[in-house]
Amino acid sequence: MSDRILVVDDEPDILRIVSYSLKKWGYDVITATNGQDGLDKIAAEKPNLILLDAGMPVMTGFQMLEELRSNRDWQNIPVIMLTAHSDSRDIDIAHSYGILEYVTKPFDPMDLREKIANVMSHKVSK
Amino acid sequence: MTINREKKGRFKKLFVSVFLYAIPFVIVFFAIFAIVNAQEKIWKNNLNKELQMHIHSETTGIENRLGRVVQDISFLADTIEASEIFNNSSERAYSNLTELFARFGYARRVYAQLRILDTGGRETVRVDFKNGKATICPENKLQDKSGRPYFTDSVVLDKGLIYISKLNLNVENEKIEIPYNPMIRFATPVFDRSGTKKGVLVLNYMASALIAIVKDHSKSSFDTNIKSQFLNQDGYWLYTPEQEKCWGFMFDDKKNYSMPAENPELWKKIKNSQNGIIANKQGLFAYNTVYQTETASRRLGVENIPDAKAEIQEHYWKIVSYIPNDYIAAYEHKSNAILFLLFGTIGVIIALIERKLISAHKQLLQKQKNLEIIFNASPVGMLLLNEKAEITKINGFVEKLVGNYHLGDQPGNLLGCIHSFENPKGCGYSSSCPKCPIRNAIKTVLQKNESVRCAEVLSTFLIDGEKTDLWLEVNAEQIILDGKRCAVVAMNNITDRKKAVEEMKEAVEMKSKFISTASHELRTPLTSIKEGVNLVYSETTGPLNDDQKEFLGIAKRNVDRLARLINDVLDYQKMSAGRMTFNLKSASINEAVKAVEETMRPLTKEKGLDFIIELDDAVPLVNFDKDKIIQVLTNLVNNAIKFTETGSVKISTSRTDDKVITAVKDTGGGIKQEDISKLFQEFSQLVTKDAERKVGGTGLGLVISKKIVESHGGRIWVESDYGKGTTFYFELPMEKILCQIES
Repeated sequence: MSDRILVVDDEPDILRIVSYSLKKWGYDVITATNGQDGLDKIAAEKPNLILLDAGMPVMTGFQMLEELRSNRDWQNIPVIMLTAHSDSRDIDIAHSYGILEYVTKPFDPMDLREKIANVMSHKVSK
Repeated sequence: MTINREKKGRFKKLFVSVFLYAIPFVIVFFAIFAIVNAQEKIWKNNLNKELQMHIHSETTGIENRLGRVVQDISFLADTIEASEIFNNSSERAYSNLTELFARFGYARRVYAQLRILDTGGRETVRVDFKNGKATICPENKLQDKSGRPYFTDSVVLDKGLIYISKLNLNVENEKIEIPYNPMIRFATPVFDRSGTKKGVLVLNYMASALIAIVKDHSKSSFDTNIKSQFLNQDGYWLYTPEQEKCWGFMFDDKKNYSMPAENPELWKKIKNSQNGIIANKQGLFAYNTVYQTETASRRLGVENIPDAKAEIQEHYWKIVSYIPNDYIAAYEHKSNAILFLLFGTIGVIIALIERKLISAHKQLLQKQKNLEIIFNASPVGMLLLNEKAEITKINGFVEKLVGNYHLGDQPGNLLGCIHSFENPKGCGYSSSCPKCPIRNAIKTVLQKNESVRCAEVLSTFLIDGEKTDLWLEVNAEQIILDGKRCAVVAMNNITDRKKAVEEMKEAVEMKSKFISTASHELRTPLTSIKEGVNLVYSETTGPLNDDQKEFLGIAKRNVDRLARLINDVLDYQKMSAGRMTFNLKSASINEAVKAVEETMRPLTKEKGLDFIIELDDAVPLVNFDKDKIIQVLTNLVNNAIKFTETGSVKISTSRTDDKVITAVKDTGGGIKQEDISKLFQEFSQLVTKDAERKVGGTGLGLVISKKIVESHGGRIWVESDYGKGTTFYFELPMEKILCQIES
């Protein structure tokens, strides 16, 4: 069974493009449009990796990270931030949640592909 | 300085100079005067003592000699009375006595004659002494002396009493013996065993020995200025240094040579008291009296000698020692000269010192005036406060600063600060006063002697009847005025600056917010466009024909460019705001170069350039943020490719002792020397001959690169040969030095 990636972003265009690429690279993809939706999807689908946007309505990426890290079942799910926020403060917050990679939009698809592969291989070794 | 104080100052100055001159002079004069006076007193005292000692010594000398004669006459009288001469008159007794007289007189050497006269006044025994020879007078030459006073006055005396004649010159054959032979005749009656008076014993005493005492004292005095005189009771000199004045009473033509004739006043004093000291115009005189009757009128060894005052005429001599006034005056002149010299010298010294003092005083006044001018001309508000923290002085700028404030308007009120009106008690009593930074600054300065620098204070003043907030920058410093700790406060109105800084901060914050929001909003759609185009262009969605590929390529290139632009602007913004973080890891710079080589090789190929990589395998690991350094390298290589039409682009690494150096070299057009300094400035893009209009970018790439390298504690620089090519270098230190970029 291939690795399952949850993409959380409020921009449907981004969701569509990222999902398309991920599927091409051979991953299973589920999407959510905000943090709350993301948490619901995790419960239902149990993804191996989450690609997470920061600024979203209903529940932001950071709020969702907070929930994620306080849940014993989910706290070890690796997260890659994929966001247009590139402020050092945001990056610091993300790292404080144990974020493995921080990718800013617009992103380089090759770079993203490499980072995902990296995290997946780490996950296996864990 | 106020006018009042200036007047006072002028008066003070005059007073000070007069005072300064006069007082030391007077003090020194009196001091020297007192010293010299005391010295003179001591000296005079010593003179008195010396004179008195002199007199005492002379008196005792004379008395001793007279005493000796009394001893002699007593001995001889005893011997005669014990002999057979009166009782059992025999030839043998007579010759025995003459022999005794001869031996005795020869041994004593002070007697001219030793004689015995019978009660009729005729000589019975006589021995003469002359030139050390004794001559016994033969019987036929013995003379009758019954008329002589030494016989008539002595023969009547009771047993034990001695007659002593006046001191005069010896007369032989009615003529005064030459050389003068001063003589005193001692005579005492002698008795036989039954107590019958048999005659008188007469000793002719050569008084030159007595006079010699006075004479020798006058000569031998260690201070030869002491002279002595010997006078008889009539005031005639028996001895005086002026030889011709001696023995006046013996000569008819010299009767005027006496002290009573020459100096009656002095004589009167000397005559009327036994001893004393007299100072007069001639000099300092000390005198004493030698009484013949008291000292030498009684035979020794004879009992029950009756009181003889009535029978014996009282004789006395006066001894006078003196110091002439010439000598005293000379001493006084000498000490006066010393006084004058001393005073003159010290006066000159004082005058010199005071000239210095006064010129120093003048300089001080000038300095004070200069300070005054500086104080008033300063383009900052200046206050002078006394030790009680009351304002004593302000300069003109203070009025400008806080409106129409005048010194003394509200005493104790700090420049009319509005808070002082909130409480009826005035300044220092309103609720906000304890926090007043100006007051605190003054307190610190006055109490702790610490300086206060650049304290920023927000105060409210009543300017033109309106409450006005003023930001003041306050410097305070302790100064000593008239020995008291005072404070000088300088203040500047920094309200405009404060406002400007506030506004600037707000503007920066707004700009930062705007850029971050705007770029974030730009990025989201850009991401979709870019990835959408990418998907199609990379033919992930299916094959494209040539035209589609070409135009999508154009779209992709420009989307990439736009993305780069936005990233540059954001990076620059982040760095300016100090919000860029560095993720430092120990790694080899060669890895970063390889990553860049991989992404950039297609571009060089596209342009037909050689892409050369020369790595030093021995470069040590350094701490750096790989993404950021890749960004720098990418930027440098991008530039190199952009400005190079033919030839090559080369990346090389090397090391020094403590640094790792990376170089990006191209064979492009190069940079003019004068342009090199502009390279790392914001938004400056060089227009080169052959790259005109081809180059796109924000002009921020090198600025960002520079900041990244410098944040690693490194350095970036460029070397260029115009027309031949350019090399960019950056070095990273081996030790981890990371600084946040300051805004």
